[in-house]
Amino acid sequence: MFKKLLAVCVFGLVIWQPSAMAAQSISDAQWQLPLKNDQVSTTLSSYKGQVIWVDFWASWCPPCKASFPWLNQMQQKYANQGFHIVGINVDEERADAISFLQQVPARFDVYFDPDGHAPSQFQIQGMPTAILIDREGSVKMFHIGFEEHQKAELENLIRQTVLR
Amino acid sequence: MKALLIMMGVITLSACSNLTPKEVKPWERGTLARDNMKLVPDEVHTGLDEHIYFSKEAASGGSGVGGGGCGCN
Amino acid sequence: MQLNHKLAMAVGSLLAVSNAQAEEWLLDSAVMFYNETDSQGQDRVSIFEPVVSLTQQNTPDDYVKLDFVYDSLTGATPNGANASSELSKFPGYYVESGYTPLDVNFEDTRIALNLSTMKPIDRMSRFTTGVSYSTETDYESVGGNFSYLQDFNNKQTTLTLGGAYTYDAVNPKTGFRDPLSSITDTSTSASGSYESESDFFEFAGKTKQTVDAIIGLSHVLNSKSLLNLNYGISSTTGYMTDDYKLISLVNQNGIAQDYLAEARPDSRFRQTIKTTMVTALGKDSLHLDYRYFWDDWDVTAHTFDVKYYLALGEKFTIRPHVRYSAQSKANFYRLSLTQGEALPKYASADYRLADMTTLTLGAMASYQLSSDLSLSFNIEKMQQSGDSSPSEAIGDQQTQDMFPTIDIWTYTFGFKSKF
Repeated sequence: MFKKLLAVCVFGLVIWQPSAMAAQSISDAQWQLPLKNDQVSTTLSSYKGQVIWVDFWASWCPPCKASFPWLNQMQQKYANQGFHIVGINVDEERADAISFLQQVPARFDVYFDPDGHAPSQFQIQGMPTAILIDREGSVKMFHIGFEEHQKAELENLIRQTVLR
Repeated sequence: MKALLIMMGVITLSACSNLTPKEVKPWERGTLARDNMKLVPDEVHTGLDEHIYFSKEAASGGSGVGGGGCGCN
Repeated sequence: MQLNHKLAMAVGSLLAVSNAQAEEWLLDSAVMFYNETDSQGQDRVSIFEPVVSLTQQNTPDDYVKLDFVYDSLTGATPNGANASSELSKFPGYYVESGYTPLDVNFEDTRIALNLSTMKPIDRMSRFTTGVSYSTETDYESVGGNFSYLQDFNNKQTTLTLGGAYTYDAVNPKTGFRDPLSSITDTSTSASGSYESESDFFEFAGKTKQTVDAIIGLSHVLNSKSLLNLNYGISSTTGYMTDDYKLISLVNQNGIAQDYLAEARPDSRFRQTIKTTMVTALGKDSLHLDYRYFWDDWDVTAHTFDVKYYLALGEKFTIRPHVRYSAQSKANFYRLSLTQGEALPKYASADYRLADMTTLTLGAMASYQLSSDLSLSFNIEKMQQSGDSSPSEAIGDQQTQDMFPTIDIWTYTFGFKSKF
C-alpha cells in the first residue's frame, strides 16, 4: 500500500516537471473573460466544450516568436478534433503586435488585451504562458516559457486531451 | 550651455516620475524588453570604450552581468 | 540533488551540438580609429582596432559567443620624463626643449580572443563561463571567468555572483631594469631580447596574477526603470612595473641629471562600487552610471557616465554621451625625483597614475536597415587634464607644462547582423 502510494507520488513528480499541473477548473469569472479583436467581441465561454489552448504572447517575447510556427502546426493538425488555440496578445501598443504578426503570421484566433485583464485573471507568472483546458473545463497544463525540446511533450499533452 | 542645463533638468524631472517603485507583472515587461533598455545596449562599442579607459586611467572595473529585460523563459 | 542534475545537464548541453532548429547567429562587429594628440601639438598614439563578436544563440539566456579583437598601435607615448628648457637625451632619441618627452618607438600589435557561454540552470537561474587569451609583442595573458545569476521576485530582482582569474606575463622589448636604476646603467636584471615566436602558454618574462570577484544586484523598479548595483574587488600580485617608463632625476634647479627606471609595488587591491539606472522616456531611454573606485595604492576615482538614446522614428537612434572621471594620484606617483634626497621604494611618473580628469563627449548614430541588419557610427572626444603647474615643481620645471592636456578622438563604425 505504502509502496503504491510512493510510486504514484514519484510518477506524479516526474510528469509534474517542468509544467505545473494545476488541478483546477476554469472559474465562471474566467469563462466570462472578454476576448476582443477587430472582427469579434466575445468571451472565453464561446469555446466551452472544446479543447482550448490559451496562449499569452507579446511582440517583445522572443520565445513567442519561436512558438508560433509550432502553434500553427498544432492548430492545423488537431482542429478537426475540436482543438482551438486562443492567442491573447498583451502588447500595450497594437502596432507592435501587428508588425509581429506580419513577420510571424498566426493561423489561430488572436485577441488583443493591452490592459492585461486576461493575464491578470489567470494570474500568470511569466511570459509566454500556455494554458491547456479540456472539454470539461479542467486545466490540464499551465506552462511558462517555450523551448524546442519541450515540443514533443507538449504535443503529447494535446493529443491526450483531445482523445479523451 | 544654459540650453543644455535646462534640457538636462527637464530630462531629470521627467525621469523622477519613473522612480516610483511598482510591482511589474510578467505581461508588463514590454518596455524593459526594448534593446535601448538593456543594461549594456551596445556591447561592442562599450567593450572598446572600457578598453580605452582601462589603458588610459588608473581606475577600472565595475561592470558585470545583470538583469532586466523581458524576463521570458 | 536536483540542482546537481540540472547543472550536469546544462554543462552537457554546453558540450553537445546545439539544437539546430532554434539557433540564431548574431554578428556584432566594429572598427575603431583612435587618434591622440596633446596641447603641445605632438602626435601621440594612433590605433586601428577591428572587433568581431559572433554568437550562436538559442535564447538570450542560452548562447555561445566568440570575440576577436585586433589592435594595432603606433605613435609615441610619454616616457615619464618631464619637459625641460634643455635638450633631453634618451637611449636612441633626443627630445627638444619645451616638449614633454615621448617615446617614439611605441609600436604594438595585439590579438585577443574570448570564448564565453551562458546556460540556463532552470527558469530562475543561469550561469556563464568563459576563457580569454591575448597576445602582443611584449605581453601575454590568459584567463577564465564564471558567474552565477539568480532571479527572485517574479524576475524583478536578479543577483549576480562572478569571479575571474587572469595570468599575465610581460617581456619588454628593451629589457627589464632594476627598480629606480639609472638608464645609463647597462646591466639589466633579465634579458629583454624578445623571442620572435613564443610557444603557446610558454611565458617568458615576469608574471602577475589577478583574481576578481563581483557581486551585483539588478532590480526592476517599475515597468519603465531598472536599477543595478555592483560591488567588485580585484587583487593583483606580481610584476606591475612598466619598464618603458622613466622618472626624471632633477637637481636643485629642476634640470634632469639622469633618468631612473620606475618601480611599482608587487601587489594591488582594488575595489569598485558602481550604480546604474536605466529608464524609459517614451521610446527613448536614459542611462546613468556612477562608479567609485579605490585601491591600496591610494588611487580614488569618481566616474559619471550619461547616455541618452533618442529614438527618431522606427529605424534611427542618436545617442549623445557624456562621461566625466576624476582620479587622485597613486601614493608612489612622483612628478620627478630630486638628487640628494633618499630614493623611495616605489615611484612612477606615469601620468596615468597622477591627479587627472577625463572628460568625454560623444555621439553615436545607429540605423536599422532591416530587422536583421543595423549600422552605427560613433564619434567620441576625450580630454585628459592634469596639473600643469604642480606645487612640487622646482626651478626649471616651473617654466614648463608639467601635464599637457591630451586630446583623444575615436571614430567607430559598427555593423550588426542576424542570420
